[in-house]
Amino acid sequence: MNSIMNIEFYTMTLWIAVIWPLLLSIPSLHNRLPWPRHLAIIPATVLTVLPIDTSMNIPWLLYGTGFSIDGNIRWILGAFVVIWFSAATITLPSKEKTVPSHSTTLYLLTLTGSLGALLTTDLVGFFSFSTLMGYSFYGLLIQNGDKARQQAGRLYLYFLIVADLALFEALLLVAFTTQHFQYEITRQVMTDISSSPVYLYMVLLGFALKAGIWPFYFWLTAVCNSGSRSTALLLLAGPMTMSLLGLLRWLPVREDFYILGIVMQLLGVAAILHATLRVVKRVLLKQGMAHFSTAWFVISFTGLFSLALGTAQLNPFLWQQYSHIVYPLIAAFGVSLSILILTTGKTHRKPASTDSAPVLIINISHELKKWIHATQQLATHLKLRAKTLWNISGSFVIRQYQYVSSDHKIKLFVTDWKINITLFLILGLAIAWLAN
Amino acid sequence: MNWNAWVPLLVVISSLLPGLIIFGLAEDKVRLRVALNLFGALSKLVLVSWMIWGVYQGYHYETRLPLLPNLELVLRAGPLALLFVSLSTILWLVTTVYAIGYLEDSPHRSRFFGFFSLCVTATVGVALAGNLITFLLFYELLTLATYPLIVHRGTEEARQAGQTYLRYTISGGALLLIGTVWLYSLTGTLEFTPKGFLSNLGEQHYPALITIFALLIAGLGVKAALVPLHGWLPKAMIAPAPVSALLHAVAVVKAGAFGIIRVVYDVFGVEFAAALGVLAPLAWLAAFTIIYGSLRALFQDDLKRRLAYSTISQVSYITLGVAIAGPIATIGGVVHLVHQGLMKITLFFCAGNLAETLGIHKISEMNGVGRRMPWTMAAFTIGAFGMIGAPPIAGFISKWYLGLGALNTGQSWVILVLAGSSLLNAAYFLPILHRAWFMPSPESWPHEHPGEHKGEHRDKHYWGHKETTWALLLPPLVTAAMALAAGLLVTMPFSPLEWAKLISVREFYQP
Repeated sequence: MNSIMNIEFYTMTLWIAVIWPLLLSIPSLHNRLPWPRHLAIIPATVLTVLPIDTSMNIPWLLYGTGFSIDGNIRWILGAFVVIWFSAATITLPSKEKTVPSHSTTLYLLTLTGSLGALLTTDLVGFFSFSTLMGYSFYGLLIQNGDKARQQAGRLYLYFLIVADLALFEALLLVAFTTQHFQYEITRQVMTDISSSPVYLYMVLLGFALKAGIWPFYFWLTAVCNSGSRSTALLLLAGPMTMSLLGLLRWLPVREDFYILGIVMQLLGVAAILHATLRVVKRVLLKQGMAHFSTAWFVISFTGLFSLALGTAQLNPFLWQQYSHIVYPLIAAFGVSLSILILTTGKTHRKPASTDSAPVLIINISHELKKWIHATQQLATHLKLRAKTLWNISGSFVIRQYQYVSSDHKIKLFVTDWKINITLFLILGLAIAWLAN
Repeated sequence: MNWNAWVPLLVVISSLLPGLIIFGLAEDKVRLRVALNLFGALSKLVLVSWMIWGVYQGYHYETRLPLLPNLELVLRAGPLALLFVSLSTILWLVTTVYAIGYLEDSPHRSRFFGFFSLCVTATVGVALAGNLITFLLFYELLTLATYPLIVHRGTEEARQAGQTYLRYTISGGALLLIGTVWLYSLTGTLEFTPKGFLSNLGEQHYPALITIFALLIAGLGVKAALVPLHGWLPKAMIAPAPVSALLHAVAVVKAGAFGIIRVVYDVFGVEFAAALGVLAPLAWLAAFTIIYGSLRALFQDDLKRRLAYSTISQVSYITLGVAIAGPIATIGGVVHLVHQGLMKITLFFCAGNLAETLGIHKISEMNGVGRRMPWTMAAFTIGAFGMIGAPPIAGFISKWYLGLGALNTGQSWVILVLAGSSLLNAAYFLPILHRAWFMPSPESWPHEHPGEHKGEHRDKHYWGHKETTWALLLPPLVTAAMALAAGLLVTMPFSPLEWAKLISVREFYQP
């Protein structure tokens, strides 16, 4: 009896861990509570310290989603708790500063998205929660931010939209193949069908954009260089870790995909080389390393991760031997990096665009806007011509309506409209009577 | 006496009768008018719920009244009809509450609510129509009943918008009438039949059938705002917010889209229409409309105008789902009828709240409005993300089934259209949210309602020092919650998706 109750308690905790921060995100609720950001992490903390693996299915939610926790997930959840707790603590209100309510809402929504994506057992659930996390994180990134953070946020948003589209296409391919969206089933099913390559590259593109894997790292450096420690911490516990986890969960590992393996290895090597060269250059030029090192450490790690996953595609046997250490490694990376961020302290704010590519992307979008404006003007011109033609060829009935309406007796006309409707109804009745 | 034969007629009368009574009410009879409105809406809801349960259990609801020799006025409650009737009924109730709040203390309310009820009567008639002649009658009644609502403000701009609306819809109605008469002369029947009633006609009639299809689609395409027949819709946004909500989400554009579904499925039959080769051009036209509407929406500063172009784009998803001609795409198209309604009505309610409470009409005036009206903007955010197709809101489910349906029928190009549209939806909705939530508020709003300044004497109807009246705030919150629930609880019994699946099964798999 006790064990049944315990299992129910664990299952409830699993559910509450996701729902509780979502509830607290309602302003009228968290405004009435002390330390809402800390309170929101409590169920997740309980879940981390309880040594039981458990799961629950919610058949009526989305396409039948569920939540579960096991040893692997517990590693990452533990790291999450540490990072979220740190972020909550450094953003505590003081006499000098207050925390705006909408900032707490965004913080808690990001937390909900992260926890949900971590604990969910299927692709649709993961996609839904990671979307919530992504857009809430965007809000956190740009709120009350300076130009650098605004620019970082804009880049992140561009990447997020494209990434979500790519992952949506990947999901459609899964749905086309199977009705089951559990990670394990998907990885098995998506290894042996013709559309696999499209699926694989969509997944890679989607999560590479979200995780900031080289060459999509611009927004990531901008966030780290923006000088906000809490945002940098949440970047780790949110979009980045979740995207790496997404790659692990969505991508099947099979030696048939050797091209994908090579692509991932190349991306990984390029990322590590790029980061190393930038650090060396900075050391030689004797420039400051505070936030810069954080950014390039993150890029190196995502590169390393890509390299490892690429190698796994080429040598699945090796992957089977060492895959169990991936989760603890991600957790260790998250915690160590958060320590690095916390110890570097709050320093100067640097312009986000140390690379020219982000500016280029923004400029392209501006040019595109200009072009569409010009097209629109042309369309208006054409429309005027069409309107003239239409007026010339207007039918008698329309002219009658124009006649009735153009006399500026609109008020009277509308009042009379009741009579028209009544006449219409009488007409209908008369037809029915005549038909009989 | 067989009551089942009268229930569809009662559903129509439940709004017609209160509407006619309201016409005769004096302006100051506020309580009686409100009571009649709510009685009509609630009684319709009860009747429709009864029919839903009955149809699910296998009962048959059909009213037949003689109209012309060999032609009857037929009202029939099939699954497709009930989907549309349920949408209209629920949203009418919500819109009535909203309109009561919106038009408080404004003139000509009896006239407004009278036509409002007639508009819903016509929509319900369109939904329940069991043959093309009944459909046509109610379709035209809808045109006549909506016009006074569009010109309700009585301004010159409203008058011109009304004229444009009439030009388009009367021309469309004429085309529909020609197509209907021609069809009747060929077949001798206009009865809506699952899988259509034309497949037995000989090949010599195929050119005529293709022309009839074009005429019917052109006639219906006006209200469904298919490009190039969409010109009336952005202009009609001059109407008061409840009317815009009705036009864009409940009645007019939906009647057009619903008519296209009827013509393809129950007149031609989807397989026969595909064999005639008329569905592919329809799919291209819908795809073009989706992209065109989104592109035009991108550059509108007027909020309601941007939403209007968004409607042009979004309603064509329904047509696209129908034209893809597969069981899964059918689900996507049909369920979007409901989903788009829920999301778009939320957006229009919110736009109305902004205009009515703060005098905000333009997107450029929306800086920081999220902090001033957080609940309204939260509802708007849900609606906007739903339109983009973000999970788990209703729009995601529609796009999911449309995309899947396209893959299922080997029409992968549709995926590109959906992706392009989602990208454009994000491009025109996210800047609004960015402004509302993350830009600093101005020192004053364009035209703030005097009732809700902090610290001053407040109108008793206003909700504390918060954003606006309950009557204006509740409807968007309810519809936003419904849009969220339609996505989250998608596999629950009686969800719009489950109902759309039932329709698809009956259309494609039943002998």
